[in-house]
Amino acid sequence: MSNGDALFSPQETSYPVDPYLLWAQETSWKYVSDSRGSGWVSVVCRLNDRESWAELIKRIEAENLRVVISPVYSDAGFLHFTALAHKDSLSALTPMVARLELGTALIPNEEKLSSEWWQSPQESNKPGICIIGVIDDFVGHSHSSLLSKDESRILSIWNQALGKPLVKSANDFQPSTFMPYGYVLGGASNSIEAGLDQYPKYQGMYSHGSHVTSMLAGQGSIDRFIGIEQSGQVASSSNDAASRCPIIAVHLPQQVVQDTSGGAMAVQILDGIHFILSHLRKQDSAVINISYGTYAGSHDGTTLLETAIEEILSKYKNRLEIVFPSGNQYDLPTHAVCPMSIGQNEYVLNWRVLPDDSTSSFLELWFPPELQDGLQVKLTSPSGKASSSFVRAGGSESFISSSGTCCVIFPKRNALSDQKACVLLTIAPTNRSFSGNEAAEHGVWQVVIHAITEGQHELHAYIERDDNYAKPIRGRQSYFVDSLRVKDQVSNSDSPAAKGQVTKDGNYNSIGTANGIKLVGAKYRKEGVETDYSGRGSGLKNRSLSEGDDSRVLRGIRGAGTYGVSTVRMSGTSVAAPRYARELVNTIVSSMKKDSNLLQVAKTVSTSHTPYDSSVP
Amino acid sequence: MSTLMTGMTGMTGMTGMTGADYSPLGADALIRSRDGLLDKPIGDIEGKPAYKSMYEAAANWAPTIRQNFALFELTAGLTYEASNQNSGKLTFTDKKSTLSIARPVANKDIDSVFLTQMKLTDNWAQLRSERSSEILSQVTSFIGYFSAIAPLQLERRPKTYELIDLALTFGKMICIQFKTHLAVPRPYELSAQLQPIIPTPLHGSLPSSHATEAFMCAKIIATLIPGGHKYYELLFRLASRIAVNRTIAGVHYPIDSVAGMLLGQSLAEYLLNKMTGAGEIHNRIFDISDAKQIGLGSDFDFDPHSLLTGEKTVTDALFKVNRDSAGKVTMLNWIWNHAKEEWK
Repeated sequence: MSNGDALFSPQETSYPVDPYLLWAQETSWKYVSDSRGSGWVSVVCRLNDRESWAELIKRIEAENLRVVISPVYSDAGFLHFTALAHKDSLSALTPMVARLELGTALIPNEEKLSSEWWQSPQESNKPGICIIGVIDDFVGHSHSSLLSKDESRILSIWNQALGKPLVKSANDFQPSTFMPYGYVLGGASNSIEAGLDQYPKYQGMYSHGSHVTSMLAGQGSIDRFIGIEQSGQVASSSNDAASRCPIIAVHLPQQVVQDTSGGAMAVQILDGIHFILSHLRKQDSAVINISYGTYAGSHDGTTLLETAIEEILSKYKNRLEIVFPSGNQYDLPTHAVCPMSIGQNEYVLNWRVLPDDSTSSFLELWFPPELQDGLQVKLTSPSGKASSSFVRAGGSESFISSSGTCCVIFPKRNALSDQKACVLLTIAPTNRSFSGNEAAEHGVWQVVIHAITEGQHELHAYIERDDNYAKPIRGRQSYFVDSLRVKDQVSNSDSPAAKGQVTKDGNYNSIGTANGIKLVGAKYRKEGVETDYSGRGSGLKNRSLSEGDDSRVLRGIRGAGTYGVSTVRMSGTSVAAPRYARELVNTIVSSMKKDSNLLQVAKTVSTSHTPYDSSVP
Repeated sequence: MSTLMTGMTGMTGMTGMTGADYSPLGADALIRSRDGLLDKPIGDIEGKPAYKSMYEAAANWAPTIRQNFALFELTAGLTYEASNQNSGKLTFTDKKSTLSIARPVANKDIDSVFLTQMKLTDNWAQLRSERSSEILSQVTSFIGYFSAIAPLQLERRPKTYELIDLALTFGKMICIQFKTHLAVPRPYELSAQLQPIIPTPLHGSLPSSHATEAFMCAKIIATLIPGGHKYYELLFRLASRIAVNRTIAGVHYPIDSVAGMLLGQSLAEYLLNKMTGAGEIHNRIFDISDAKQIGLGSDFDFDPHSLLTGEKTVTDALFKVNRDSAGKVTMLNWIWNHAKEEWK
């Protein structure tokens, strides 16, 4: 089956095509999260060259394309940029764009974007400061560990998800005029406090973002917290420089972290980084922690988000650190390696897709381009009643399993990596609880890979993340079933006895392998050794470790809840990354000219941003 | 020691005098108490015996007695026919409607049917850790889940509780007819790999009694309470989830849920018809050779939403019950009318 209205083709060779874009097209966009039928999606792109900006802007205006690009990108002339675009306008971008990757579905605000907001903060004679950036879900901005003399240390929050603020706090939230979505809460601390009623669902709960922020920048001595264990310090040192630095938070939309967690968050993360950096003067530095990641991906440092971050890091040389966790998936059977020898090769991967999964399941096959012409892939449903044929390079095929549409997408040139070729296999959600759901079979799907090659190669199969960090809400994590895989509990490595393809080695966050990005794994505080789950791979360089658990028995590290003095335990590399980032903050501040009130300086600086003028004393 | 201790707790039987108390200690205490209180023999009786109509008197009867009576009325309108070893048929004699359930027949397909069912059941087992609290709490009762959607407040609506309890008892009784007749082996009997997380009930697998009762509940609650049809889709989804939880637990195949859903809907229609005189009883057939017609996906998994689509076409007429139908009073009418009164 093929879509007659297709704008992009897997056979395209003049420019690379995002296989997820082909999948969305092949399935008539029905599984793209929360598009509400609007046709608007977010994309991250890389221009052919900086000179292409003029042509791009001219073409958008001349052809009245439904594409919204923030001035931060066009004014500053970055190669990488994000845009909200109507799906019908996407193909018009391709002449100027070297790579284009599909992000989350988002409808642009009606606010007119302003270049003014992005003008550099006013220079002042005040000494440089270090700003802490957090890109995460809800950050409990009134938690005691994030206060300074009872006022919030959070300069501003960009809530990327907020459609429209609740009436009660409408005045505290300003529609974003710098990016075409979300609302900003910022300026004086009383505004921050007033904004609390925008987050009723977090009251009395914990949140990933609150805990992460307390690891990164929390303050307060241990005796301010109630009922905690002897070892439960909020941070290694509660009176360090990081506990006094100003904080800027970006709240990611829930669908970004829930629907195939992290699989489509490049746009929101890149925009978030620019939002944080907009607060910096020339003498200021920043450390940004992003405790999210993906399972699938090229793992070669050339995803668009990674190359975009590299571009930013080169611009902010020595003034910016960006930290990611290495992921908690090392133990999960979500990665398989198929060595290809000269001649014919055949592999069968058994892919278990769970019932009650409300989001799509994705499997990416990654291999060197030399293997592409001799490779063909077939996907068969658990009942055997539905399957694709063998799909070769330049092909895509969709078929119905039960009532859901499943696909095999094999673009000749793919836009997800600069170095590797890719095949994408997709399975529709399996949840049938709601009327109208077009759901696929659950059970063990079979992926058959045939390859004829003239050289020695490796094909890596990565299943994309499909669960939620805290508990299953919509997605359910699929995985490989390999009866030959022997889990070696003692050494926590791939057993030499294992003859199967499923391997732990190489199971790590695919965002964070680019030059300059700090990738952090987790260790047990008590033993000082890396945790069983901490993502790693033999080919991974420049990875650091920090505490992610107190011990194998006492899991997690205690940090901030959402409100008051509440504390909760959280475990994982999401905890380790901000703890490592905290050390970076302290190192940066120690090299700066001392200033006793970092927060006050930051608040003075922040007045340069137009939206905050009226609310800053 | 244990006997003595039990005897000691028998003292609490004194409080039980408001109801039945069969303890020797309590009886002895009453003998002594009466002996101390009596001052003259019985010379006359208080008033002449006045007979009430059976249904007027019913107000003073214990709910269990009313339920037993009503069950007789319900079963009196039914016949169960074991037409052959493989198929059972329930006939609603008043309306000439039928519901039949056929087990997968012993032909070349039977192995593949059960292999498919076992594979699906095995895959559903992946969700055990996240559903275990639901599964365990629904072993004996699931009415609290329905009450969370539609505010039943059964503590102050005893007749509504009586009605639902009657429906569940009736559903179980009829379900057992099919289970016993069809005698389909449980999943654990086909593979030791499945290892259910709750004890498998000691009767046949097809149809699922939980599914039967849950779908009955959904329909009856939606019909009984004012504006209840607005809850129907949510109640239906809850019933589906309760049914699926039994598969996740490892005690039922998906096809058991499908058959239970069909049986539950027919029994709910029949019960409502007997109580109110309104509503149709549809003919239903469970036969896996006609998967699409019975809420079974092409992969033979439970696919309830396909049937819900059909349910949406049911008009509000079913929900507008004629409360005056008690003109021809039966115990079923009595229970319905009194339950309905609680919602005014």
